[in-house]
Amino acid sequence: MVSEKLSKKLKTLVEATDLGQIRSEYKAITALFPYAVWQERDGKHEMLNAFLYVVGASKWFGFMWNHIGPLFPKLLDEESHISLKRASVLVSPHLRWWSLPTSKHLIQPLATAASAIPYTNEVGMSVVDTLLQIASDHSLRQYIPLDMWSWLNTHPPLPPVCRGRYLAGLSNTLQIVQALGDIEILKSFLLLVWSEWNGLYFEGLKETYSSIWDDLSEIEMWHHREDLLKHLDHVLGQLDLGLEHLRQRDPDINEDGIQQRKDQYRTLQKVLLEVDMEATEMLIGEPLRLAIHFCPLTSIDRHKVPLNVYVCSSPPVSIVACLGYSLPLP
Amino acid sequence: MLTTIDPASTALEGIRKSYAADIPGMANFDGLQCYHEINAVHATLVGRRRRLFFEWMNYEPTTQEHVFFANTLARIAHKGKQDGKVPRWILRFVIHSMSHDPPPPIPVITDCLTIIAIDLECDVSHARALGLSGRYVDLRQLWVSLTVKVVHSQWRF
Repeated sequence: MVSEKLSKKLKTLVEATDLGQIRSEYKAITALFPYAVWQERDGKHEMLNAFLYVVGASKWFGFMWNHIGPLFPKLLDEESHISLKRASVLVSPHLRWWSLPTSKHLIQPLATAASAIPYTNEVGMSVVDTLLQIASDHSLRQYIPLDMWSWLNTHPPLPPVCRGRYLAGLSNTLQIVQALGDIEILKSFLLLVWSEWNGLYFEGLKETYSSIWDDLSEIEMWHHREDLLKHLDHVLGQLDLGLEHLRQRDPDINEDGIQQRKDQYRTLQKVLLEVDMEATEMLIGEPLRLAIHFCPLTSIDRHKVPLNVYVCSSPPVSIVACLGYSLPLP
Repeated sequence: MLTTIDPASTALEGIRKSYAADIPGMANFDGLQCYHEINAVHATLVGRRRRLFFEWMNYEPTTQEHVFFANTLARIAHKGKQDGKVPRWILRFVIHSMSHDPPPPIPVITDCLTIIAIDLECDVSHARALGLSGRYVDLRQLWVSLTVKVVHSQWRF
């Protein structure tokens, strides 16, 4: 009976959309988590669902009280039930990784547990959010197992308020991703971090510019540049929908923030196009350069290239340049 | 010293004053066999004036003790809310108790959920854990069990 009242209360808190009240109750709500996971183990999902619902609705970073920390090693233990592992993975973005005394000891077990449970968007979202949070922390990032980074390639739809993505845009996490030397992971990282829901700041922005030049300037990177440009088109399109539209999902967003993001992403678009142009020039030399100036080139479709004809495809404009000499195709 | 006390009466305030005069707020009960129980009484009596931090980490009671203690704390939470909130040390007890694997006995779970419900301002007036006539904060039994243990321990203030 008390249990029913509690899950009803959690739903009421969310429906009242009183973020202040939800946040002020974070300690009591956190205290419910152990009960929710034991219920989950018994196949009763209502309390964990209600818990995740209210924690997600709080739109508050680090919702969970640190005193919950000692429970996690038990949940993440290899021998623990799969539902407990799943519960701990789902709430992991809401832990205060930056101040939890046992944080560094939880990262490897979390990665192992995440791999042991069936993939869903919620699981992917939680792991990626948590991974990015940990990666932004100088004292924790060294404990991230290498294979955990491949979670970025799952491209889960991150929520509008996402601490991991926010921190990744703020810090020098990109350096860590670059150091992995895996272009797919780097691209996935950029696709996740470039979002209408947050901008890039300080180190994050500076590093992104240099990464585009350092890591994406080779001619064979054309399809990565194309994916990133398409993504930027999408992000800018979302930002163009305006404040009212975006506020439906993130009430804290404001006009200045939208404008700032538009400026940043347009600049990134420009940088990518410049890099693309330079790479193309290196490949084909001067004759095509003038032609390219007249079209918004974003990529080169190498599959359609005969020896002496180069096809540049950039919807909606396509041009065919007859160069009159053989191209050094890879 | 502590008996059944009506929280609305001035008696509890009198006891608090006497206690505070004899026992400093920052008293250290480390090493006592009944460290957690004494801290609970201490927090109940001085907690209004200062924030108290004590660990539940090593609290491993017998089932009987756990059931009794959880019920006592549920009653204290019910009557002793501070500024509309349950004292944080009681919520920490809830997290500790509920984090056991296997989970604690059902009466402990019920009391812990009742404590959370009180903090979240759910209506718990009919909660069995608090008893239908749970009008008073009953610390007498707790105190009796404490005094038995205290004689074997050494106080350090």
